[in-house]
Amino acid sequence: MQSNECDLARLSCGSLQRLPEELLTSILLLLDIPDLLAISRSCWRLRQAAQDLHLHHLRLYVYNPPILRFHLTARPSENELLARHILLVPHHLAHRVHVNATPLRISLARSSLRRKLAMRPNLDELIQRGVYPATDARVSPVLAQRCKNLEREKVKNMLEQQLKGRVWIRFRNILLKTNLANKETQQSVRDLVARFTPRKRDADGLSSKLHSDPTRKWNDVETPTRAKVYRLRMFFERLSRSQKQVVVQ
Amino acid sequence: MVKLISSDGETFSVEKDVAERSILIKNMIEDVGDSSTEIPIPNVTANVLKKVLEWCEHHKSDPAPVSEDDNDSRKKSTDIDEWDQKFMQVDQEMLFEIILAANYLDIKALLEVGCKTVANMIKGKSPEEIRRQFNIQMDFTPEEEAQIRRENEWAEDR
Repeated sequence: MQSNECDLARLSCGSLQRLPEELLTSILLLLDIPDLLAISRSCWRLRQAAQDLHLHHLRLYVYNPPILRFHLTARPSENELLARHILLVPHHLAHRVHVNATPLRISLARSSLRRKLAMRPNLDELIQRGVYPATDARVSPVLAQRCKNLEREKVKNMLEQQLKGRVWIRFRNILLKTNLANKETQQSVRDLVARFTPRKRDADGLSSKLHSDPTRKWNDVETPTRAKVYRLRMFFERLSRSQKQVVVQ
Repeated sequence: MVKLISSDGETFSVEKDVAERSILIKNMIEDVGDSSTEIPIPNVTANVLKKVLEWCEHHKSDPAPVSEDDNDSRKKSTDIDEWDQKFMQVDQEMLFEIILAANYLDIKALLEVGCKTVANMIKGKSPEEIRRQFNIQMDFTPEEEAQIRRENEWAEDR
């Protein structure tokens, strides 16, 4: 059976692909992840083999733990590491080194920043390379735009303030006027009512005689009620106001 | 002495110790109970069987393979016995034939040596080099290859 498989495979592809699955797996088990990655990029069959879940399960849980155990026993001791200058201080003093390391790190960052700043191209070069616009060269384009926006906002605010002030004054004038007018019209309404009612009553003398109830008679008579007058007044006021506004505008 | 017959009809007479490095042959001899009978090896050609028997001859005095969970022996794939290294310096065709034969004949140590040899051939190579090494046809489309490369990007800078 195997030989048949092999014969078939031999016709189509290379020697490594000829191997049955289990042999391929046992070869791939000997490799590390970077090599498996390279294998998985060579062709489809090997990609499938290298990405096989079973293979990775074996790698992680069956095959690697003994290797890990072996390597852990072969791990050099702390003293050895100290002697080889891989560890600079013993483990129990490490935290102190860490504390000391902070200013060191800051100074490192500072010096690297300084170095990079020194490498920064100057303004003329940037203008030449078209990074900065030639006009407004002393200010960055972002800042310039911002300034413009701010100025525009300022003018807008000022205008709004002025407009508001003017409108307020006009509004107050109108309010004062209407207050005065209110008093006048209120009086005049009273006058009107007083003036009209008796005359109407006289005109409808017959009908008033038929109805004994005075209030009912009052309602029947077509006198301008207070509400009607008020509504009319409001209407005309509004009309005049809108006319005024039109004139102002 | 044991007589082995390769798939192409050639007969090999070897000592019983040597032949019994193969668990398959060992079990066969035990089953037959008579070591003088000829044992056919239908999956292995004469030139490969000769090579395999050469290995068995050299390793006949090795201690019998110990239990399965002794994984320490394969801790490093680079660890190949010098003689074995020389023994495995054959063309690829033969190398894979030996691996297949070792698998068929159930010779664990030889199979391991073969696998290690192949693994060493793969180690540290780029996909392109692997393809060239094993004469593999690239069967990815350009799009697939680009996608695979993108997927593997995280591992590229090592």
